Amino acid sequence: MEEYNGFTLYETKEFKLEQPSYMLLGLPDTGLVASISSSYLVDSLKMDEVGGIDSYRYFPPIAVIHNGESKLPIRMFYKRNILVIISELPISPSATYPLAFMLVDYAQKKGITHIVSPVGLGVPHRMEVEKPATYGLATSKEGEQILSKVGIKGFQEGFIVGPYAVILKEAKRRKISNIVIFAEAFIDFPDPAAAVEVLTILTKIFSVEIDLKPLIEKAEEIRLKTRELMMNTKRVLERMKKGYEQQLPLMYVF
Amino acid sequence: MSSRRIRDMIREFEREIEETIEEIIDSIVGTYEARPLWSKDGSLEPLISVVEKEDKYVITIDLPLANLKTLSITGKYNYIELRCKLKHRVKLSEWPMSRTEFTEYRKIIKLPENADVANFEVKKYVEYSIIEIIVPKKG
Repeated sequence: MEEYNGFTLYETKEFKLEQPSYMLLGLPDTGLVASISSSYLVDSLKMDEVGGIDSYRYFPPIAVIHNGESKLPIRMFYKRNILVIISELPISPSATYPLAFMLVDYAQKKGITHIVSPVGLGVPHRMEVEKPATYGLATSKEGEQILSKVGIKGFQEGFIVGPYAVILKEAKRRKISNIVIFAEAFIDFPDPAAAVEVLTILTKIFSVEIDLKPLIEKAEEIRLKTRELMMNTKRVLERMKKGYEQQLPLMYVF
Repeated sequence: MSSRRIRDMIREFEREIEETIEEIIDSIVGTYEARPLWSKDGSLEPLISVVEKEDKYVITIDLPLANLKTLSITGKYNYIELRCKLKHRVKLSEWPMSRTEFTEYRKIIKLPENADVANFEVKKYVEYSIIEIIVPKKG
C-alpha cells in the first residue's frame, strides 16, 4: 500500500512486468475511447487484477461490486509486459494533478518503458466521418519509432486537456516515454468505433492479437450501457475547459 | 536560494491554490451526477447535446439500439418531446435494481423562449442511430 497526496495505491498481487513494458491508461475522456478500449483489452486478454487506487479525498464514498466482490474505483490489471489502469469514475479537476503525478511516479517505480494514453479527439460532425482518423505523439525517440513502425500519422498541432495532458507534460519533464494515441470521436457520446481504431494500433504496439468483431457487433449496446459514465465525464470535461481541444494554439496560426 | 528554485516554489504554490479552489468547487457543485438515465416504467433517457447557433438550436440525440422508424417528436411551447421504441427489449444488468426491461427512449428537452419549436427539422443518421433536431429561432 502506498500513499500519494490524497490517493492510496494497493497492490493486491505481486507481479513483475517483462520488458519492454507498457502502462495503458483507461481514464474516462472524450467519447470514452480510453475506457472502452482498455476494458475490452483487459477482457480479451483475460488479464489478472493486481490492485487498484482509491481516494477518500477525491472520490465519493463508492465501492464497485463485480462478480460478488468489492472493487476499487480505479483498478489495475496485468499480463506479461502490459499493465492496464482503468477508472470507473471520471477524474475531477481537483484530482487531475495529484492522480497524474501519482501515475507517472508509479510508472517510474515499476520501470515502465512506455506509458500509453488513448485520447478521444472530439470532432463536431462525427456522424459524417465513416472511419475515425488516428494520430500519434511520443515524448521519446523509442516512442516515435514505435509510432512510425505502426504507420500512424503524427499529431502536429492542438491542445490536450485533462489528466492525459498533465501526464504528457510530466512524462516529458522526467524523460519518461509517453505514447499518446488520438482517435477522432464523438464529443458528447460514447464512441466504440473510435475505440476499435485505437485497439487496432494498441494490438500492434503490444504485439498481441485480439478479436475486435464482438466490440464492433456490440457497439450500440455499449453506447447504451455507458450513458451514465459519459454524462458524468462530459460534466467533468466541461469544467476542465475541454473545448480548448477544438481550438488552434496561437503560435501555430502563422 | 537560486532564482530557479524560487520560480519552482511559486509554481508549486500556485498549483496548490488552484487545487484547493477546484476542491471547493467540487464540494459545492458536486463532480458526479447520481441521477440514473432510466426509469422503472421501462423507459431510457438518451444522451443529448444542444448547440446554439446564430439562427437556430441544433439538438443531437444518441439513440443506440433504437428503431428510428418509431421515432415521434412533438414541439409545444418551448419544449421538444421525443419518444422512440428500442429494436428489442433491453436489460441493463443483473443488479437487483435493474430488473426492469427497457422498451423505449423518452426525453423532454426545454429550449429558450425564442425557439420556434413548431417548425423543427429532423435529420437521421441511421447507421449511427443518432438524430439531429434543428429548431429555428423565432424571427
